Amino acid sequence: MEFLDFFNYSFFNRALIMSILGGISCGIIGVWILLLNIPFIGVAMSHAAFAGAMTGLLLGINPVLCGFIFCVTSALFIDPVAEKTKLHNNISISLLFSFMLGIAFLFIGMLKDYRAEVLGFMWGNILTASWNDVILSTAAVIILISFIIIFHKGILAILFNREIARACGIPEKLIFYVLLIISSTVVSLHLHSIGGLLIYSLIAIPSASAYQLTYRTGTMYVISSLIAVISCIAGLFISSVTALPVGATIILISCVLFLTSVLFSKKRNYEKKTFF
Amino acid sequence: MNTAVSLSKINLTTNSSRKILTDINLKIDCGDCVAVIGPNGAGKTTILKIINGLIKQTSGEIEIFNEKISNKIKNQIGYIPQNNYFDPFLPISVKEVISIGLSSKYGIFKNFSDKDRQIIEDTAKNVGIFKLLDTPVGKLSGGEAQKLSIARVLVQEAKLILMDEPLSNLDNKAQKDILDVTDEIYKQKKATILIVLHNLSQIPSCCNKILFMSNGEIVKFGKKEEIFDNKLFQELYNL
Ligand SMILES: Nc1ncnc2c1ncn2[C@@H]1O[C@H](COP(=O)(O)OP(=O)(O)OP(=O)(O)O)[C@@H](O)[C@H]1O
Ligand SMILES: [Mg+2]
Repeated sequence: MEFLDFFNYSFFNRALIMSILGGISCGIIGVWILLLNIPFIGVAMSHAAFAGAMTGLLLGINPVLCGFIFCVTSALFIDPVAEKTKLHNNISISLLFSFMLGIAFLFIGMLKDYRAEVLGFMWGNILTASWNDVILSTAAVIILISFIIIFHKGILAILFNREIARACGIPEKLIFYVLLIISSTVVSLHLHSIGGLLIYSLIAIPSASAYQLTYRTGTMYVISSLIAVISCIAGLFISSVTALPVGATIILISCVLFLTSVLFSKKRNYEKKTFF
Repeated sequence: MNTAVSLSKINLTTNSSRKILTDINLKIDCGDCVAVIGPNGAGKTTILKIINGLIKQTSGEIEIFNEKISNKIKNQIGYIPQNNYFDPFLPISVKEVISIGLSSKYGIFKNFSDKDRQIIEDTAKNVGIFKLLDTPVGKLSGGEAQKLSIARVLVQEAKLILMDEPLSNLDNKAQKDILDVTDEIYKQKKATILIVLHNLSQIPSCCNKILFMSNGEIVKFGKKEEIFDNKLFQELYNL
């Protein structure tokens, strides 16, 4: 098949659009998760969404909706659990993560007839995205960007220091939770296309690369999204040509981009040499 | 005289029923500058966090400017925490951090005008960090970070300022700078200030009252001169 022939297939075009939309949203929420120092939350949310989808399959309810409900609920539990138990955020998140993984695997065990669906939610397949997925993804990107534009002062305050934001009367809890709910929405919407396990990588890796390259939050959003989009599109093309699994290819490409960004983080290398 | 802070019968107990604050009664008048002094673990940080609502007391009543704590009241409280640690690579600039003070004053939805940007620059000049406005916060030294916190609280136009050990880890020159700025704020802004200090020699000249704490209790609270005369205090601090 000739390279350009791919564009004749509407499933491929949909996958391409999904790459761009999913890349932008994952790139942005990755920045939040990195700067709020809650890396495990991405893992917990994606596993909660996955567990939710399994529950949906088992009970015969829409798995994406069920995944969304699980994801939001678990995201909203993180802070209260941490406060009650006086444990650090990351510890309550890993507790939640283990719980969700337990539920997911319990239900997978009970779901003997649904192997294909189970794997679909685990790895996802961007090539199976429907127009419906595209519309929902577009909505997610619009919500994300509007939220950043409208709330950028509040977001800046909590990314800097949640305690200071709360102390000076900025509605820190509200912004933090809206931010988590939006992130949960993005994660569950991409359950089909990117998959519950792979989406975490697409949240964590591009933002970590962007973090190497800039000292400005706005630029970090852009670079992070760009790296996620490039990983998705490159992964899509490479896997189409080589018949490798698309999700895995995307993640490996984003890892290569991360390593490249570390190498090119000249400013930091320079500073290390001068001062240490 | 109007009351800025009123704490009555404040108790704070941990889940494991250890007492952190016991029966705190305290009235601070508007315009006071109070030095809060006491050994490690006395409860100095805790009392500041009770005043700005970061920690909820187990029992007792708090009023700030004769009102219960709300976000509206918190907008008038400037808080400079004890630890000023920033992630060295944090992609946030000094200017942006100062602007958080304005977001507190105006709410998070107001767009900044040229006048606001001017205020940020003037304040940075006043506290001596004008050259650093575009620097990422992670690159600041300890003293510069303290000055940044002060600038943030200044643009907030906080009527009550809580400073938790603003002098720790600073060299003599930086300590003097911070104390001078504090004196200046006090004179210009007529704010009420609570400043936690470790060392009596560090008390800024504007301080008129001293609050001495130990073991979660108020040992002594009163005018600076009276406290300095107090035998107990002299023994405690070997003056
Ligand atoms: N989150 C917490 N949970 C339980 N106990 C705490 C907590 N924070 C502080 N404490 C305890 O409360 C007491 C008072 O602490 P606080 O931080 O107010 O002391 P401090 O006077 O500020 O001391 P320092 O001079 O060391 O800063 C200490 O005994 C401390 O162990
Ligand atoms: Mg303290």
